[in-house]
Amino acid sequence: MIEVHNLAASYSEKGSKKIVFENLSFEVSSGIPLSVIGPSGCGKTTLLYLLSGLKKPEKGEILFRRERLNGHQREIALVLQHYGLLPWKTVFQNASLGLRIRGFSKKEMKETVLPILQELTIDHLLDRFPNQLSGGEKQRVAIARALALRPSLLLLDEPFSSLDAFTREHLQNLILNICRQRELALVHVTHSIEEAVFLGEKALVMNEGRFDLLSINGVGMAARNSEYRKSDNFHQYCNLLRGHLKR
Amino acid sequence: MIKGRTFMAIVVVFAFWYLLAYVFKTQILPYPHLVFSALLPSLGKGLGGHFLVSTYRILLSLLWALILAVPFGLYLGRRRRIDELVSPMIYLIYPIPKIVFLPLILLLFGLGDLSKIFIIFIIVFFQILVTTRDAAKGIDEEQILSVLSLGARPKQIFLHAIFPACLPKILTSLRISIGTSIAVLFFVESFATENGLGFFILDAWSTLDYLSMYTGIMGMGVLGVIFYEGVDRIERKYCRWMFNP
Repeated sequence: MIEVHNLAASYSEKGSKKIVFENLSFEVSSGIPLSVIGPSGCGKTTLLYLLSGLKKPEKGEILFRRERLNGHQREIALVLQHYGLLPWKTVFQNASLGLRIRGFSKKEMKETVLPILQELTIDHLLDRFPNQLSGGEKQRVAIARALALRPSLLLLDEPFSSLDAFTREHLQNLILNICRQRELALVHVTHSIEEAVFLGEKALVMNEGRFDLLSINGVGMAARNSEYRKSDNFHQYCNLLRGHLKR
Repeated sequence: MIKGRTFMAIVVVFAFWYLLAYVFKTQILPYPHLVFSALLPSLGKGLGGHFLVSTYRILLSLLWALILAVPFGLYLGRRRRIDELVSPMIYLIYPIPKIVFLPLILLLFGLGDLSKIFIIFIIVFFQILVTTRDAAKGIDEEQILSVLSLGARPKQIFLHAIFPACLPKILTSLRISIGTSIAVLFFVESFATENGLGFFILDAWSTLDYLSMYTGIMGMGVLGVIFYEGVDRIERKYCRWMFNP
């Protein structure tokens, strides 16, 4: 679905360009979620912004459905680390913002967004503002907003980093279910080795300009549940990732 | 209808006024009930008309300041390089008391309403400009990215993210500007005019009619309350999210 060829990214600091990473190549297809993991500052979030079309690469190219990605693409949805909810919009307004931007009518927005909010069990919070929501509820609203655009690729930037362990595991299960049911391709950035193994079937380890693309395909998406977290298989893949991160 | 807290504030102000009037026992500081009894005669002397003229001058000054300072401030706040060029000029002009330009303003805009409105406008313009610019600078970039990631165009980014993020601070700057504009109003209505609350107060003062003078001062207080209440209502309506903790 998305192919990355010899990608390089940079940022400007005091007038000079600093390379974040270069020569990065990989591909993502639906049904095979990719976890991107690495230490702070290695360019994980930058990579996600490039994949979403928010930033332009320094070098290389990104192909989405075999066409060069150039700016925003409707089928690619991004959920930001701190959810990116607008404090002045209610849950419904936040969730339907992408549709509103595209000129959908109020009726169309309701028909699209309400079933998603029901699916995510936040339909009772329609008129609440983000400052009235818990971390988990905010995360669901951000996911609902992404899903409302009917994407085929979902990008998540450290989606569960500020949530408690219980909510985190619950939302991880939810994300996997959503991706499975909707046949979404998933790329998610994380700091957590356990999260990378639970959500991903492939892992891209970014470490000081070096990349390792690993298969961490323990079990299929449908079998990833609480039991899988306790299994030897799961811990073996965690140790594999840990080993690559320490290199 | 007066709310509990407003009622309490009125009680405290008048109690303090009574206390001062009792302590100083001078004609220059009459008891509040005497001022209230002078209200009807003051209305007969045209207090209502003066009140409306002052309201018109303040309203127009604030509206023009908002119309020009808010878009300019938002633009500067989101364009770092242009802000770096323009800010030194703002900092040079902002602290200069604009009243010193009075001769020039009178020459350019004449002795009528326009010069008075312009002086108030130019003073509050900078207050609103600097606050709005700083608000636009301080927007959480993730909010902009979030709207951008949904495919928003510049106009939609402004409408959904930039303006709503800055609105609370714009309203705060408006509140500060209301206080400033009423203070400046007294000055601008002290010359080349025969209407407005400032004129009414000074005229009563010059004839030693202290009771009328205080009705004019109360008029200025009421003017402030009306404007502040208006801003509070706008905030409750358009910044509803701030009142739902």
